[in-house]
Order: sequence, then structure tokens, then C-alpha cells
Amino acid sequence: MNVSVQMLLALSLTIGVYLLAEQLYIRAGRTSLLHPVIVSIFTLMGVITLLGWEYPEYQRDTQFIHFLLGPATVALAVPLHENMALIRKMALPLMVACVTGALVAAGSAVVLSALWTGDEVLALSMSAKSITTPIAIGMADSLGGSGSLAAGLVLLTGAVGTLLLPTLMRWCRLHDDALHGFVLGVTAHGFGTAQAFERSFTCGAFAGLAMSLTGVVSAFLVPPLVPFWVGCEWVG
Amino acid sequence: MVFGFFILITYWLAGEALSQWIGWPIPGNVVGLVLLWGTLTVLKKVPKGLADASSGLLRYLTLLFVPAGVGLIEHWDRLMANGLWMLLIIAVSTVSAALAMIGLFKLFRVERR
Repeated sequence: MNVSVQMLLALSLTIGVYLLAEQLYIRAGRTSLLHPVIVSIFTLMGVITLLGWEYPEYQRDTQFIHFLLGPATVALAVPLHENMALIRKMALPLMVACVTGALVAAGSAVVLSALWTGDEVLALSMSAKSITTPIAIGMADSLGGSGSLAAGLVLLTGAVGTLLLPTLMRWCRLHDDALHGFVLGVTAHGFGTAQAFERSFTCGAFAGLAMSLTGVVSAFLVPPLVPFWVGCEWVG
Repeated sequence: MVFGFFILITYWLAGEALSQWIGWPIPGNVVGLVLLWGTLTVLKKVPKGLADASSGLLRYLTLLFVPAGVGLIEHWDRLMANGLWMLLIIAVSTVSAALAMIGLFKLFRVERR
């Protein structure tokens, strides 16, 4: 790796902007619209445009940060293992719900994107919209979609989910904290999990478990189904 | 800590090798996650070094998405052209998935009283 001034500048800018965004998020009362990732991404887009950098250069210079997503994804096995003890009695219905939720979320997004926009890259990237970002980026890339677009769609899904789901679950009278958290984790990944922890510890732990399970289940089940979903438009 | 990092990289390697060998489009790091999860289930405990390395990485997990997220700048035209559709699709799909799950919970009476 050739260390250049531009590379160090890109790394310091990325980390610095992120730390500032985190402070802003905490001071603004942790609203998901000001999530540090959202604020950092848009700020850095502005910064690299002002500096006249092309994205591929920035991407190369920040490879070190991106690389850490690999081991971090493997590390998700640790909280997953620790939280599995929670679901002993409810394991079967929760697994069925997780698989159903993951497939409905991915399938409906892919089919609707193909039908309404006819944009294939968008449809392929939409398949990863409800799963946790580290897994979503890899999955979208290996399907022929775009990891960056998937990252953006995941953030949007998280923000939309945390805005709509609490009301939806109140209307449906789903009051059990464990199930409430589970639905948030499956449909709104890390954003849902953060919101669930504000409700109660149980709610948060179930959301975290649901988030990791959904990521794993989707990575295995969704890729073989995607060509079929995308094909709906051209066949139908 | 270094031991934990060693474990994470080795499992990633094993996952990447396995996923290329099977030829299924699953990211190698997810296969590594499943292999490590299986190992921890058999061991029934998390080695200290691994617990340290993983909590260190996961504490700042969201920072790690930022470089990929900035790549959204290359999809600016797509966002401008289809942004509202994307928002609508995401809302419809999220609500459908949540309703399907809530329906299952009511059907099988999973809710605790």
C-alpha cells in the first residue's frame, strides 16, 4: 500500500466527519433522520465534490476502512451466538417469521422496482434493502447490483421503517416487547434495533438477534430467487 | 485482541474459499460468520480475545459503511430520476413484510400475555 498525503487526508476527513456527525446525532436526541451515517455520507459527498476528487480515487484512498467490514461481518457471529439463548421456547415460530419477513421484504422490493422503474441495477440492489449494511453491500455486489446503491437503500429503509413501524404495530395491537423488537430487527436492521433499545432491553436484544438472523437467512436464500423475481417484468 | 483478529480473518478466508468452491453468490464473510457461529455453538463459550476484537469492531460498525455510502454520489442521476419511486417501494415493502410477520404471530398465538 502506497501511503500518500491524499490518502491520509481522505482517511482523516472520513473519520473526523463521522465523529462530528456522531456528536450532532447525540445532541439532537438520536433521531434517525440525523443518523451519523446519513449525515457523514452527504457531508463527505459535498467535501469530495468541492475538492474535485472523483469517487474511485476516494474509494481507493479509504480502502483501509472498507476492508474492516470483512472481519466485522464475521464478528457478528459473537452477538448472534450470545442472543440465541433468548429464543429457546419461541425458536420455531420466530424462525418461520424471520424467513417470511426476509423473503417478503426482498421479493416485494425487487418485483416492484422491476415493474415500476424498469431499472435492473436498482431492482438487484433493492434485494438487499432490509438487511444489515455489511452483508447488504457484499450481497448486492455479488448479484450484479451496486454495493453503494444498496448501502443508500438500506439507510433509507432504516429511516422509513423507524418512522412507520411503531404506528403500524400499535394499530395491529402487537404489544409484546420481544415480538415488537423482532419485527423491527427483521424489517429495519440496525436502525430498528437502536429504536428497540429505547423501548426496553428485551425489545432491543430481540431486534439485534432478528437483524443478524435476517442478514444470514437473506444472504443464503435471496440470491438464487432474485433472477426469478427480476424476470417477472420481462416474462409478464 | 490479535488472536481474535486472527480468528476473524481465518474464518473470513475459510468462508471466501467455501463460497467460491460452491459457486453460490453468497459473500464469503457471511459464510465465515455462519462457520464461526457454528463453532461457538459447539464450544458453548466465546474466547476472551475474540470477544474483545469483535466488540471493538462492532462498536464502530457504522463508520465502516461510510466509504461505500459515499459511492451513492455515482448514482445521483438515478436518485433524481427514481427517488420518489424508491421511497414508495421501500415503504410498501417494509409495511408488507411487517404485516406478514404480525399475521403469523397472531395466527400461531406467539404473543405472551
